[in-house]
Amino acid sequence: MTQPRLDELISLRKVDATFALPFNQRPINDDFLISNDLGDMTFVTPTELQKLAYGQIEKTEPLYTRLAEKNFIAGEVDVAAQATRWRTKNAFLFYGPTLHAFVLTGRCNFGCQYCHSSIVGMHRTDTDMSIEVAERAVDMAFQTTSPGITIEFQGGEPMANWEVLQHVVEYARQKNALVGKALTFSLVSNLTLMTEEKLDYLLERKVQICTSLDGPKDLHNKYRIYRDADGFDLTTKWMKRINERYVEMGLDTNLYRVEALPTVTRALLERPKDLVDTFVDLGCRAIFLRKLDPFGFAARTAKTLGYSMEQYIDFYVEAVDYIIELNKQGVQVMERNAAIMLSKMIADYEPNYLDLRSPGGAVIGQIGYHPDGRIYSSDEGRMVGAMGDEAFCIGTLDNTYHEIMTAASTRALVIAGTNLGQPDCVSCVYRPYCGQQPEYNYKTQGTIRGRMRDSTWCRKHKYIFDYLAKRLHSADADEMAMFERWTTNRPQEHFLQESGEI
Amino acid sequence: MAQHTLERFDADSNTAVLSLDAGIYPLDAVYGAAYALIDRAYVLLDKEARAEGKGSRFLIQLRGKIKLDQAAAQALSGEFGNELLSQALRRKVVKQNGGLIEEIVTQAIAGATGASLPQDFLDDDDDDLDFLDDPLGIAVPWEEKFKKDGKKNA
Amino acid sequence: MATDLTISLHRAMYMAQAIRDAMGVFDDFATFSMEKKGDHYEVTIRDVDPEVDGDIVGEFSNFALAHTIERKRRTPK
Repeated sequence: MTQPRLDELISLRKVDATFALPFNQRPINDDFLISNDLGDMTFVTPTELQKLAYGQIEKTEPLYTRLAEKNFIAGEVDVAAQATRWRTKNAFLFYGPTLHAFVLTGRCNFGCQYCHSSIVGMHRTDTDMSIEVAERAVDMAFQTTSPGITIEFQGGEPMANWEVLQHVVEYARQKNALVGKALTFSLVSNLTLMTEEKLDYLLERKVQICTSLDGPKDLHNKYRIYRDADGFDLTTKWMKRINERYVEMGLDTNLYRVEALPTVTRALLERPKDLVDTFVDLGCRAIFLRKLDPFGFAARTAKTLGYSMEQYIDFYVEAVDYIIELNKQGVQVMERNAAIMLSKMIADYEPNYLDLRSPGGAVIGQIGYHPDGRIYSSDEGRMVGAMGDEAFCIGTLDNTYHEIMTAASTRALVIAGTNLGQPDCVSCVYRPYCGQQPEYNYKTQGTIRGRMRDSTWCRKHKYIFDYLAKRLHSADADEMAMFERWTTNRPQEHFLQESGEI
Repeated sequence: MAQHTLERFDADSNTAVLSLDAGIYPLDAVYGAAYALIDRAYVLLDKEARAEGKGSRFLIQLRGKIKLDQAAAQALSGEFGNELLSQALRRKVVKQNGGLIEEIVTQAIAGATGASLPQDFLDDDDDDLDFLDDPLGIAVPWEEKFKKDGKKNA
Repeated sequence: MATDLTISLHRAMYMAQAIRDAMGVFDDFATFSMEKKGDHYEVTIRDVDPEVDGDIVGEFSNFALAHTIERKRRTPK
């Protein structure tokens, strides 16, 4: 199966530039995947691509109808309808940051070898966020022009600063009684400091709970080092307990479960199926196969724990192939990267995942609040700061919201995080579905304006997009139904704080 | 039909040289195609005049980051041709995207600052204005507003 | 004694500022100078840090090209 060369398939002289809406193409299997600037995509044969470029498709041809429905034929585009659609998909451009990451403390009782967050020991209470800083951070968060706010508790281990966590919840709820935003709380915890009383509080206050789980017990305990007990047993014990409580509360178990996130280390590369099985056994419905990032301890331990992007992709493909096989056997589980990308590709839905949107989420989509009041472009920006580089410190809580949003560094990050500013992205078929992270560019390439052709960020996402495109191209009806199921967006409304509720 | 030529491949210096008539593709398309290879090759662009003033041609020197052979050089050349066409095709169908970038970024910032209305507009003081009130002097004839009375010129 | 490295970049293909940007990226690892010579900018690279194990000429030329493309596409026509 060889693709015809594009420069042999299409003669530039014969191109009718008035016929097609701007589009990009990429060979997938025997055909071409084409996407336009509105985010529509479809597969065409080489001959069909040539006809599109030459404007030689008769209105009576089924191909014309198919391409017109997907907005590839300029003369058939309903401008008003597409403007509405564009605005809906890009709604995030019209308001400020939604995600507010509160780093409640630098302390942690785990010693994870790859830790992203550059943590300190449990005795370092000086790294805790104070109540005063916490309140001012909440005040800042509530100034966002976004109709929704998610306050995410991070660390260190955020439950180590339990008093301030509770205070933030109560204070934010009080503020929201007047403001009436769509307010949610999210806790990212290793769960080892959980008690029944604390769980009662978190469930009562509808705080969503997420944890980290690195797959099989032996690997989890090897890389997520916890001296006081068996870390895997303790974390999974609480995962099960929280899921039981959700059931007791009458919540839909398909939707409400503890979300667990693995970090893929070198050792895990050999065991993708073990990882998936562990998550499935614990009742998880989603697995987010996160590559080790270049921040924090991860940057320092890359030589022992790291791996190439190609190794990661092999791992990813094997894991997702297995997940698809499990789905065919009736097990409902999905991979998060794939679900996000498929939402954009086939469901015409923008999940506002901050790393895969353009402009990216730095500052205008998320803010990171350091315990001492410094404000960062994102959680990743804060991690760069923890490594002694303040490039992504946008200001402090002494600044006004307006100053933060209009800072020169904010503008630079927005421009750097815009796909259309990248030579390679402009002509990439996946551009409508992709995005980039200036913090990642900075750590890996030394500049917030990354060079995507050389970037492992681009390589990773392009590989995954290619993998999904190939699967979509060859999918039968059952597989398409499965992929569509992965893109179903069911909001977890239980976690929304009720307006006016104190 | 491919418009460029693999002029030569030198295994010792691990370098392939492609040539392309400068009149066929816009320089921007050549840039785009060259950029697409910088993950695998060190790329050097050059331009030379043809003899007797018959136009000029681009030279694209590709030095492999890993060891190349004739087939690999040919493959790089083919990919360059594909990218060249792809870039030129998109360029031909699309006008410049720069305005769109600016629009996106401007809206991104404006949406985030919350400063969408001028402060005067938000003041409550004018809420009870009668429609006959004319605080901005809109109903004042321009002759009257701009009359040369030596005291007021705007 | 280390030999100076030179690289010729055509003035119709590379922007001077982009070359200077690329020089800035690598100036921790070598000493750069640039001068006009006919249709080209000639960049001389001296005193390359012996710790550098990559191909500084190749990387520099890629950076100069990439910066040129980015700058040209950023500049309104």
